[in-house]
Amino acid sequence: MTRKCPQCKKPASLDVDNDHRPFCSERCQLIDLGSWLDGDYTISGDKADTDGAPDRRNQNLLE
Amino acid sequence: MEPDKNVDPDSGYTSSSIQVLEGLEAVRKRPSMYIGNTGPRGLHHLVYEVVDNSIDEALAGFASKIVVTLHDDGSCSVSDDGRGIPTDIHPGEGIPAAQVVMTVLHAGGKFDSDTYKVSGGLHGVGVSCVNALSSRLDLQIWRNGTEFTQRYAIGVPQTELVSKTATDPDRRGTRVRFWPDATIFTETVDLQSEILTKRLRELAYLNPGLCIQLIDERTEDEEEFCYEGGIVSFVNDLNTARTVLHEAPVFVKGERDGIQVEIALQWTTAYNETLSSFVNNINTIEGGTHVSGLKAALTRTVNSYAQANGLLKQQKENLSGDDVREGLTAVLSVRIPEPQFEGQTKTKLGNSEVKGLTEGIAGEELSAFFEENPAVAKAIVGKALDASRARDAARRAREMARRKSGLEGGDLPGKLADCQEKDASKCELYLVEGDSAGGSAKQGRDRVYQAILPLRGKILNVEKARFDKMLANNEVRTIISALGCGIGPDFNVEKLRYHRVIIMTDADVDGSHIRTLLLTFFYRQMRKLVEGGHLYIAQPPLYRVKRGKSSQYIKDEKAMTAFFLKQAKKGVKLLKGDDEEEVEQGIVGELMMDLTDYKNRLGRLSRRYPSEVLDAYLWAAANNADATMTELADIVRLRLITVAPELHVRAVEGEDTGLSVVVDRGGEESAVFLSTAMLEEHTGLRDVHARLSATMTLPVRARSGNAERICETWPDLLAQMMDLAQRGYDVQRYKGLGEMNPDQLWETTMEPANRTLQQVLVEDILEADTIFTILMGDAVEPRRDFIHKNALSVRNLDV
Repeated sequence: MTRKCPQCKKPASLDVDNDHRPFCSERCQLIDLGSWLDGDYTISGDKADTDGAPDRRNQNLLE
Repeated sequence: MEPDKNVDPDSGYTSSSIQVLEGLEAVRKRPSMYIGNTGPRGLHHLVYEVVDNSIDEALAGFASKIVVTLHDDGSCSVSDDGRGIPTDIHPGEGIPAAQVVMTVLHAGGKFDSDTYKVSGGLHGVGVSCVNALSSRLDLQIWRNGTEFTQRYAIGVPQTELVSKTATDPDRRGTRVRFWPDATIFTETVDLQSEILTKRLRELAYLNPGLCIQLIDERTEDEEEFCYEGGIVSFVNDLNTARTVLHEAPVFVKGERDGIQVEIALQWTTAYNETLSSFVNNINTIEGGTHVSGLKAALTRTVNSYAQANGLLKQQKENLSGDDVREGLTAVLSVRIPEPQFEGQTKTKLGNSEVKGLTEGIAGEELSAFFEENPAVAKAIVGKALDASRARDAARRAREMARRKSGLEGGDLPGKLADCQEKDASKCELYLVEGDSAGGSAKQGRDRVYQAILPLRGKILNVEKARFDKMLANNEVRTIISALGCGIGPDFNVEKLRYHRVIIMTDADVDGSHIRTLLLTFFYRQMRKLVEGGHLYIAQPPLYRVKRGKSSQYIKDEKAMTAFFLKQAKKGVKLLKGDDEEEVEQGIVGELMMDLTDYKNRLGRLSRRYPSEVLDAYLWAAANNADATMTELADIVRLRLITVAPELHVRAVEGEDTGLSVVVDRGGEESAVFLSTAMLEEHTGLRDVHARLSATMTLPVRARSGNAERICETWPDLLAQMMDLAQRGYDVQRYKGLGEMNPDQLWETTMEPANRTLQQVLVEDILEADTIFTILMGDAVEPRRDFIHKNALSVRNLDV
């Protein structure tokens, strides 16, 4: 199975022989790690999101 | 290389140019001192040494073709179309110059830099070395229409230099054929064309236009190396299997103070650096001043371009040389009259003036290239930034691992409330959203095996109306150090300190965002933790039901229905018809089960039959067994108008076997055909309806305290009973973990006997990552933005 590498968006194999899955390479995984360590990742919300309503979209996918 | 016609073919290359430096005797005694070793490497050096003499003629512009032949008998010949070694008597030695070249160590035109401005060769050991180490050597020289021949054995002339009229009067050049001495090269005297190919090809790249032919008579293989493009072709060929960042290699050429510098370079998407450097055709494996100059120029030029174009805004420091050169393929060729070699293998250039000179030439040309090719320049800077970020992340990952081991696992985050148990397989770590919920969890937990790490989310007010969520600074680091299994290249799931890692967030949007962030983090950076089944999501209750001072937490919708059904069973009275006759309270429970069953069955069929229509038909049929279809049609129509005013009844027609009904709900029309035969397909529905009708007749009154409702249909009865049951209760969708006190949190969410833990599977998390990617949207930090755009441009180049 192949999906887009979350970092460079090029195809990345999700097979067990890819040690860096879901990334295409150690490089991309490391850059991603750097972003986590720097607290670069944010989830953008909008006004509708902040009124406290349950976020069904996520829940459904995760439950 | 075409012989330079303007140069006199003999241009002063006479015996007086040959300077005698030293005798030959020592060579056979200590061959390794002169050719490195007596293994295959040294053996092949013999060929290079002879070829280098011919190259010198080519460099001086007198030769254009060199033929290397590996003969059947194990010998090797090298011939060129140069001027031919001088044959006149050497003034100092009294023998022909050619013989001096062949028999005296360090004798050769190259020691007089007037003869060859620059010269290669194995540091001038000379062809005499080859002669000394050959059991036989035949020399042939064509000069001025005369052919000269002389034979040697182990460096000792066996004949005089004999001359005769050449069969081809126009032929000129030198041919040396030698038989490596098996008593010296005890390991092997087998010359291999594969080994020679590499070096001969290299020489052809370094001397554009020069043709080198390699003929292996033993296999009848023949190859010719000739590259008009010189080192640009070299770079192109090195990059054949790589994805390049820019189409054509950058070519830089310059000459200052008699030193020529040529550079060809091209960046690729690879992670390694390929830098080959040469001084006078010698591969300077150890680098030297010319390489330092090129590297300095690269680092300086790329950084100043990036600075000038605002590409380093998010970067704390300049790009390092390693970052800049990542993916670079470069060939540097320097020609210098008097090279000084240093290092273990004498392959490091020492001339200090070359550094600044190379740096200057390279810097100017590279700056110009970047200015003219901004897209390429940006791609190169982007790649260097990626390299820098990855290197930086790897370094930090290592530091975290090192700090950990240095303190024997004592470096746990201060916010962590660890558990007492040391057996990881029994331990649980709750990642709890918010400090207040974290506090409750710390109080409520079983401290023997449950550890608590409170996490703070951070809300960024990006624009007036939009809030972005992120994990607060250092939260990721905190998680990593609490888990104890390292990160990045050092990640080791075996060291995981808790075999259950439980994400406990509020059931609101913020909570789901924090959870998505965490899931994505684990999926991307600690995948084995997920694959090992160690990651869970806690399921705190979704509802809180309050009555007076007591409150109860209810897990989900299903549990809440059950709760209120129970309340209804206890507290709602049902009165049959208009009188005050009560339905026996003992059967209310059973009745409610039937009502629920009936409602659910109607619901399941609602896509095919509007529930109200089906319910009206069932009611009409049950109460009017003898009615004709036309009569039944009227009853159903009236019933629908009475109990379902929101439905617009278009037509109800009695037909032979049943009723044809058309209704309109908010503009959506549905036409159905209802019949006894159709009910036969849904006996469950029919039977439960029959059971209900047997117990009571609609309408039924439902009463709780002083409130009373008149219910016309069974679904209405159920709804009213539930509504009455909820009177006095305050039902709230549960807001946050922090609302529960420690005991409640323990009972509902943390106590193994009661809690529900959802194990996270890789498939689930794949979705989380997708959501994450979408949710990240365009609100990413400018740095990411840049990287992203850059990645796009890189991809475009790849197409």
